[in-house]
Amino acid sequence: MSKMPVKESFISYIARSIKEGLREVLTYNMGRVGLAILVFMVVMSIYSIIVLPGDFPAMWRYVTEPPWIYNPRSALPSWVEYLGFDVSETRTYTAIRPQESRVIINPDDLFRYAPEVERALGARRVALIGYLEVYRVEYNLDSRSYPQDIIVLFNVKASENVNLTNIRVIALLYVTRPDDVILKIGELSVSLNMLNYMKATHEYFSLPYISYYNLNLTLEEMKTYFNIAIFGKPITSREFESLRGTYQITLVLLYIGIDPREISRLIADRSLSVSVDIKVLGTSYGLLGTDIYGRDLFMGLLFGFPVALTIGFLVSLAIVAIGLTLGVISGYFGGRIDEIIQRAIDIIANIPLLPILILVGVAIQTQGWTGWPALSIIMIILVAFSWGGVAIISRSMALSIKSEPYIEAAKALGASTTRIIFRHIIPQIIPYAMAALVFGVPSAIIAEAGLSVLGIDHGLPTWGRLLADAQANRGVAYNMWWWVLPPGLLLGLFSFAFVALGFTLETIVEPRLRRR
Amino acid sequence: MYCMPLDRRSLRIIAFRGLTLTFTLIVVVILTAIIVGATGYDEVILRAVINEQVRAYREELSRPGSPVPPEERERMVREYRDTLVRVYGLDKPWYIRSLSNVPRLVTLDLYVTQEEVAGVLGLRRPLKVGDAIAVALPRTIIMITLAYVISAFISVPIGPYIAYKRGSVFDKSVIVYAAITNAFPVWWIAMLSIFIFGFYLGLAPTSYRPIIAQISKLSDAIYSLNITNIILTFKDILYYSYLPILVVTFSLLGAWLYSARAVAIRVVSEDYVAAARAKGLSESTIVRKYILRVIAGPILTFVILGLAGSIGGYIITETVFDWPGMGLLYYVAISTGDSPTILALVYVTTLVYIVARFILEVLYVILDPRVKL
Amino acid sequence: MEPLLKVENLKVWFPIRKGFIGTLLGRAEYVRAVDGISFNIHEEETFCLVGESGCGKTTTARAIMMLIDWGDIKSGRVLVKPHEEVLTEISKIQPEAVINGVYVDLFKTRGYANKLMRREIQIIFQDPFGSINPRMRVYDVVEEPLVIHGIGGREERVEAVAKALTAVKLTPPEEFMYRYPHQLSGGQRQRVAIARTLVLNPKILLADEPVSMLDVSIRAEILQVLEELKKTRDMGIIFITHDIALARYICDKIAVMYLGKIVELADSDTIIEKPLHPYTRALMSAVPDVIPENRLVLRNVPIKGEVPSAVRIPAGCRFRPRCVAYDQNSWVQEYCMKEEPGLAEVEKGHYVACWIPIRRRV
Repeated sequence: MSKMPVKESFISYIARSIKEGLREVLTYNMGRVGLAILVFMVVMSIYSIIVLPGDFPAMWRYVTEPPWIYNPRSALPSWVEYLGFDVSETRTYTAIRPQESRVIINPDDLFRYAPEVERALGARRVALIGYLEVYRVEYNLDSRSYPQDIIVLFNVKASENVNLTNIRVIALLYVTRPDDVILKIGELSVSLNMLNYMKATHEYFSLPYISYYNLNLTLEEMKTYFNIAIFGKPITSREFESLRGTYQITLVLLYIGIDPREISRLIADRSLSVSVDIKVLGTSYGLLGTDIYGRDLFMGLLFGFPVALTIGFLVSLAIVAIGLTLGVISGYFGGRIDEIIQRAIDIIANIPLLPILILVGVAIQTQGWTGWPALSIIMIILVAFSWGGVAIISRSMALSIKSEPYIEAAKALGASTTRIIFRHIIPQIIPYAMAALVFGVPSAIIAEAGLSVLGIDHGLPTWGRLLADAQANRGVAYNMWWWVLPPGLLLGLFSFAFVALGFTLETIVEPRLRRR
Repeated sequence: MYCMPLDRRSLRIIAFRGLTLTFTLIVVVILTAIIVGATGYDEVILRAVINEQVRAYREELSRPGSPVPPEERERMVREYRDTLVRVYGLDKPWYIRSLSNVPRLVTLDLYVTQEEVAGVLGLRRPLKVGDAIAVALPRTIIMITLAYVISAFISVPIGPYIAYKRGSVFDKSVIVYAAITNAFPVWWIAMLSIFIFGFYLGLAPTSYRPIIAQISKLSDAIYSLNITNIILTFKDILYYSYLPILVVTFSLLGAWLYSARAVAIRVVSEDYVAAARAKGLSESTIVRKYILRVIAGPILTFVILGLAGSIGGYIITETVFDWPGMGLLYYVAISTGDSPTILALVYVTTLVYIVARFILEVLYVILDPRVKL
Repeated sequence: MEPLLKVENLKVWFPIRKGFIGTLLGRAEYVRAVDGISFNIHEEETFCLVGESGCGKTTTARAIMMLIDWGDIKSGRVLVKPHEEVLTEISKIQPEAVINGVYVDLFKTRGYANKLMRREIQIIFQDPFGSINPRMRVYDVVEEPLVIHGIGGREERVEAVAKALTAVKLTPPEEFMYRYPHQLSGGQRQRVAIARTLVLNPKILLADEPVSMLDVSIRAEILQVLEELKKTRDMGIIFITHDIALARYICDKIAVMYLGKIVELADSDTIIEKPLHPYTRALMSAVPDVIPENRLVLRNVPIKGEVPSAVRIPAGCRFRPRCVAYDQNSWVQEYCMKEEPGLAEVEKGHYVACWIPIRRRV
C-alpha cells in the first residue's frame, strides 16, 4: 500500500474543519474584511501585552499620580497638526547631556557659564560656588495655542558609598523667549536624595513681569495663567497673544554641600549620575491625545484590545459550550430532561438581561469588588442568561440528525451514546456553533461597555470604561472628540469584524442565503 | 390561508401554552426578587438612606434652642431609627422583604421608595409604581416604539425586493449597513449624534429633560382643545424627540432589513416561486401574492415581539439621552435600590412580552393546524 | 444442521401516545407493527421478507438488530448462533442468555454481551445517501465498527478496512479510503456500507431494501456482491424487499408479509411458480411483464381497497377486507370471518396462512 490512511482524531478533524472554513470565509469580501480586522486586533493585543506594564489598571486609576501628571491635559492627538489644527506640540527631551559641567570656585563663573541667572527679568546677584551643570534645550512654538507647562524630571542614581543626603542641589529653571526676555520659572533647593521633579511656576517672574509689561493682572491670575505669560506676549494690559519662535529652556544645577571637586570625581567615575528629562507640555500629545487628567488615551485604548478579545471569546465560548451541550442533550435524549431544559430556556429568554446585569453590577460595586473578579461575575451572569439561543438551534439540529439513518447505522454497529453524540452529532453542529460563537463575541464587550456607561465601575480601563469617563464628564468631553470617538469606533470595529465574519459563516452554513 | 375551527385539541394546546407562559412569568418575577434581595445591595442602600435620615434628625434635635433636653435626644434618635428600620422592612430577612412585595405586585399596588426615582420622571413622592410606569411609558413609546414601527414599515415592503436583487450593489450595501448598525451599540450612536448634532452643529438639543414639560403641556392643550397650542407643543416635542427617534430608527433599521431579507430569501428560492415565474406572472404580483403572503408569519412574529420588547425601553440609550422613559426609570430604580419599582418594571415588561407571545401562539394554532404539542 | 437464526413468535407493538388523560385512563392502544412472526435462517441462505411498505418487514429487521426499545417488544425471542469465541465469552458473563448451549437470546443480552452480539448481526440500510455520515471519510466509516468494538491495532485495522473494501470491489482500496461520501456514486456508497458491516465478520447480514434507491443499472453489481459474500463467508442473509421479482432472483426462501404477519413462506421457486395466498398472487401480478409489449396491457390485479391501519387490525383473517378470493369462495367465508388462519404447511416446505388451501386440504 502506498499511503497509509491515518485514523483522524477528533482534534485534527476540528482543526481541518477550521482550516477549510477559513479558506471558504476568505472567498467572501465581508469575510476578508472581518478577518483582517481580527488579525489587527490580535496584533494590537500582543503589542499591548508587551508594552503596557503589569499594574497598568492601577496606574490608570490614579489620575493624580505619575506618569499622568507629567502629561498635558485634554491634549489633542499630535497628528491633527497635519489636518490644519492649530496645536502646540508636546516635546520630551530625554536624558539630555549638560552643555556645561565644571567646578566653580569664583562666584562670577556662575554668571559666565549660565548668563540667564543674571539676565533673567528681575534677577538678583547671589554668590554661589559648587559643581555646576547647565542644560539647554530648544523648543519651537508655531501655534496660537499656549503650551501648558514645562516640567523637569530627575532620576538620581548613586552607588552605595555615596551619601546623597550630604549633597544639596540648587536647581534653577529659565526660559529665554524669542523676544530675548529671560524668565526665571523655577527654583529648587533640596538634598540630592529628594531631587525628583520640578515644574514651571509664576512665583519668580510674576512681579517683574507685570511691571515690565505694565499689566493689569493680579498675582492670582498670573498663577492660573502662568503658561500664557511664559509663552505669550501681552497685546493689551490684560490680553495676550502667543509668541511664536524658538524658546530656550535652561536648567542650572549647582551641587553644593561637599567639596565640588569630590562631586566632579563622583560624576566622572559614574558613582553618581543625575539624568535629566525636560518636558514641554503642548496642546497635542501622542497618537490619540489625553483626557482631562492627562492620561494617554492611546495606552488606555491599547489595554482594551486584549481585554475585549479575552472577555468576548471566553463569554462566547462558554455560551456556545453550554448551549451546545444542553441543546444536544435535550434534543437527543428527549423526555423529561428535554422538558426541563426547554422550560429553563423559556425562563431565561424572558428574563430581562440588562436589568439583571445592572443589578449585579451595582451589587458588585456596593460590595467593593473591582478588577477581574468583578468583571468575571458580570461575565458569568452574561453566560448564564445567554445560552438559550444556541441551545434551541442545537436542539433542533440534534433532533433532525438523530433521525438520520447513519445514526441508526452507528447504533446497529454497537456505538455508545457518547460516541454517537461526539462523533456523529456534534461535528454536524460545529459549523453552526462556530457562527454562533463568532456572533456572540462582541455581545460581551458591548454589554460590558454599556454597564460602564451606566456608571458601573469594575476598575479596568476597557473601551467601555473610557467612554464612560467621557460620558461622566459629558460637559467637557463633548468638546473632545478624540476622547469620545476612538473607544466607540474601536468597539464598533471590533464587533463589526465579528458581525462580518458571522454573516459570512451564516452564508456558508445556510446555503440558501448564498448568492446564486 | 387555511383556517381551522378551534377544536378541543387546539384549545388544549393553547391552554397548555398559556400555563407554561404564566409559569415563566412567575419564575421570572420570583427570580428577580431573589436577585434583588440575595445580592444584599438593596439592604446596603436602604441602610445608607436610614443613616442619612437619622443623621439629619439628630442634627435637628441638637440644634441650639431645641426644646428637647439632651438626655432625651439619644432615646428619640434610637426610636426614630427603629421606626425607619421597620418602615423599610430591614427588620425582616431579605426574602420576606422581597417576596412580601410579590402579591401586591400583580395589581401594581406598590409605592416608589426613592425620591430620585420619582424625580427622574419629574414627579414627587408619594407615588404609586403603576402611576410612575403610566408616566414613563408614553415617553418610551414616543422614542423607541415609534422607531420600531418606522423600521418595520420601511423594511417589510423592501425586504423581498432586496432578496430579489441578491448580489446587487443595493443588496451589498444593505448587508454592510446591517453589519455596521449591528456592530455599533445604539447608545454610542446616540452619544455621537448628541456630540455632532447637539454640540458641534447645534441642530438638536443637548439636554432632553424638557420633554417632560412639553408632554404635560401637550396633554393640557389636548384637554383644553386649544388647537394652536396643540400644534405648537407638538412642534416642541418634535424638536426634542426627532434625534432620539432618528438614532434608534437608524440602528434598528439595519437589523430589520437584514431579517426581512433573510426571511424573503428563503421564500424566493422555493420551487413555487420559480413555478409562479415560469407561469409568466409579473414580478410585483409574485412579490405580493407569493412572497409577502408567506413571509407575513415570521414578520408578524418579529413585529409583535419587537413591539412588546420595546416598551421596556432602552436603558443605556435613554440614560445617554437623559430621556425620562421606562429605560431611565429602570436604571434609576436599580441604582438607588428601589426594589418595588424594579420588581414592578420586571413584572410589567415581562407580562407584556409574555402576553404578546401568547397571542402569537394562539395565532399559530389557529393559522396552522399542524402545530402540535 | 441447526439454523443460524431463529425468530420465534416475535411481536413488536408500539404504543400510541394519547396524552395525559388517555394515559391516566389506561386506554393503551398499539400499532401492531409486527404481530407474531417466526422463521429460521441457515448458513449460506438468503431469506427474503417481501411485502408492501408498512407491512412490518423493516420493523422486523430493526427488532433483530436490537434497534427497538425492548419495552416495545411484546413477545417472542430471537436466537442467534454466534461465533464460538463470542459464545464462550457470553456464557461466562451472562449464562442466562445462552439457550441450548449454542444459541444466544438477543433480548436477554445486556451491556457487554449485547455489544458482543452486535458483531454477529449487521445491517445494510436502504438509503446509501443517509446511512453514511457525510462528514466522515470512507476509511473512517469502514473502520468505525473496529473502533467501537476495540478490534485490532492501527496496522490491523488498515488491513481489515482494505480487505473489506476489496471484498466489495472498491479497488484499489487506497484510492477510496480518503474519499468523502459525496465523492462517491450511490452504488459505491452502498458498497462502503456493506464493507462497514464486513469488517466485523458477522454471521447474519440484514439487507433492508439495499438496492431500491439505486439506479437499475447498478443494482446487479450490489446483488452480485451480496451473493458472493454469502458463499465465501458462510453468512445468512435476510433480504428485505417489496419487489417479489427481485426476491426470486436473489433469494433461496421467500416469506411474504402482510400487516405484521407472514402469510406465505416457501422456497422462492415454489412461491413464484405456485403462489397459494391471494395476497402473494396479487403481488405477483403487480410485477411488470418480461415482454415489453404486454406491459401496456391493463392487467387485473386481484386485490381491492387499501391497507388497513395497524392499530385496528380486522377481526378474523386480516387480509379479508381486501381479499378477492374471499368474495369468490363463499364456502370459506365463515372461517375467514371467525378466526385468523395460522401458518400451516400445506405442502412440504410450503407454508401458508389462508383458509382456502388449508380447508381444501382438509
